[in-house]
Amino acid sequence: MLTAKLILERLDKEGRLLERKEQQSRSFTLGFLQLLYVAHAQIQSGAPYTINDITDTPRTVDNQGNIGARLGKSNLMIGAAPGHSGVFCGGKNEFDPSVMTIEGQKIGIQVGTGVVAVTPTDIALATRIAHGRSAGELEYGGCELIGIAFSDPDGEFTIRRYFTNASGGPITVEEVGIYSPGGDYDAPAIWAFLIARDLTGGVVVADTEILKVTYVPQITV
Amino acid sequence: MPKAQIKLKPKLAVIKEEKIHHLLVPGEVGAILELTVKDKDGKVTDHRVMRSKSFVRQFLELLWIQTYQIPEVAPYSVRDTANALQDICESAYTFAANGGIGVVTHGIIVGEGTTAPTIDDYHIETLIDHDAAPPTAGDLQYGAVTFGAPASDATTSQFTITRNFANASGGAITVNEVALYVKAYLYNLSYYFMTIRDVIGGGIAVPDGQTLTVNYRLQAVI
Repeated sequence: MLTAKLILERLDKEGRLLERKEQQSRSFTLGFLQLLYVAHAQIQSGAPYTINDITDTPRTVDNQGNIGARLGKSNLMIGAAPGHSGVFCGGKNEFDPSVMTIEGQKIGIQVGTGVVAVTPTDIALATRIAHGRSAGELEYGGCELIGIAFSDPDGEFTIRRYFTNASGGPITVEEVGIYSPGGDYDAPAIWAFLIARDLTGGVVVADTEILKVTYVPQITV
Repeated sequence: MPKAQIKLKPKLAVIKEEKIHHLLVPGEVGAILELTVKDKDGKVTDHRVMRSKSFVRQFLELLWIQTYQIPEVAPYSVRDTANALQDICESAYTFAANGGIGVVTHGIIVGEGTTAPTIDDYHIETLIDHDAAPPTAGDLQYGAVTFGAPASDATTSQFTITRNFANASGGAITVNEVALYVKAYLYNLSYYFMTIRDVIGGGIAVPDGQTLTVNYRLQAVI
């Protein structure tokens, strides 16, 4: 069985811990199963599978790799660059940044202010906090994956992202989640999909403070 | 003696909401294991539904490789079903379980082993091989792996992986263990890995002339 811990830590600008909340993540969504399905069934470009992306637009997704023998495919990616930095995604035109690049902030851990209850068919955070330094925005760091480890009967790894508040005022993070891409080989194109969403109960991040969000997926036999 | 034939046609199907079994608790991602034995007339002679216990370490390692986008230039080593560590990177093949008729390298696999699973298991304990020239004592005819498209109800999302195993061996066979094997890749080379292994308490008997259908329903519950 796979479960995940969700940890929210509020830090001051020097990195000192001000608040820590840990809870069980309850909320891998249909999007996660859909991307796993595309991978297991090896859905090909001639008969792609339709998933609604984070803009609630139906997108055709397949698991066909790039031409040549490399067979790169970025479906299920969570690790991402910070902010507006581009993330190249494998696919037919993997070297064409105009169609196969997503901003790093749109992949990996996300934060928002929505409080609507989670459902399996959620397609995005209810009210996503944008990357930036303006009112109501947080600066998205890179989304890191670290520390895969096993000790019978358990195994786990860590996904984490830092969010810096340079907005000039407090921001309350009510929801967190994970976005991951899926691609269409023939289009060619890449889109982001919601694969997990959780409510936090509210964490107030004051101006200049940093929020560290950590998911720890774990399996136990 | 008439030979058993695999008659069910591969198909993709959306699972109706009322057919989603609820054996997982909120926050869990896992699998439901459903076993059905039918005689040659299609009559169900045995049917069981249970929680799959056992994602093994290769599942988490392949998830790590794909979510991290481990590159070809810095691959990650994973133990394959032949007990060899293989360098693997992200690819379009990661998690491929679409084994065809008679293929025992990937897809749902069955065996006779009874040893309880551990997280470090890397292959099925005692493989029941594909019966390529029936009747072969102790072998089952592996059908092609098929998939049920994702669906959800108010709490549970799932998709289904299915395989039929026809017994034309001339004798009864007891299946004690079930596993999921998948493919992964590094430039020009494919390798195979076990991601799930379950042991069935008491085993499930498949008499000669009957067919075992195994469904793994991968689920996420909120």
